[in-house]
Amino acid sequence: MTYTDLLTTDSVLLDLQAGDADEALAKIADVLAAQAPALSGRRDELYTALIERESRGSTGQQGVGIPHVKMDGVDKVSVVVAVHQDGLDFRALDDEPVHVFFSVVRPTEGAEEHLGILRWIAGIAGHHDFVGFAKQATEPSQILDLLAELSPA
Amino acid sequence: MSAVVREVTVVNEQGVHARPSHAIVECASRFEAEVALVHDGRRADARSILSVMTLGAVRGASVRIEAEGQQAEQAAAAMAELFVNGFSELG
Repeated sequence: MTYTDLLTTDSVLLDLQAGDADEALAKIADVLAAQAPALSGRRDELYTALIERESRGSTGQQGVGIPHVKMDGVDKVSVVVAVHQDGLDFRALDDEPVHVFFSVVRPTEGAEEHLGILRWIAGIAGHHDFVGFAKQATEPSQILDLLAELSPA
Repeated sequence: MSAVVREVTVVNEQGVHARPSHAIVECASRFEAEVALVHDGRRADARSILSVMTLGAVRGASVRIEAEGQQAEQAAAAMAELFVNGFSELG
């Protein structure tokens, strides 16, 4: 199953500029808020939810972080991919810096679909070349191509 | 070497969500052993947070712990204890 249709070039943040994990989540929240009408104006709420999620245990490992949250009043899943060239301390389980963030916002219902999306991301993130390729992207469309290429058949 | 296998049930209310996933990875990483969790035909590497997070083991789910390696016994026992204790979460 592939979920590449969930992303457009507007869902990709290349060259994320952030000095730490909190700042990264703040910038990701900005982009998420622009993904769907139901998220418009809810940037602060998104940021707080992302911070709260990561406080319950980092989603970072192997250079990839997947901060994911559910929100009231949302009717569809939104995904943002952000790439940080130098990598950030995301309290990852392997203590390695995180370079690529997949952030997922989902409706409060639909746990099964959500699991499918996380599995799709896990399949891509588990690819040993993924982070290296993502860092080389110079256009958002290249990230979308990379996701499509690495999506499990 | 044959695997050490333990069958456990998810007893905590929230299932294997954020915090339990973390506890599982930390536990698996402490031992000289390869630990896998098998649920509903799906196999997760217990050292991979992405793998564990997407196992989809909710309350009441059966999970098979399979450990191999020098400390397989200890790893399987410690992992089983996490599940039995509901990851130390109330409910």
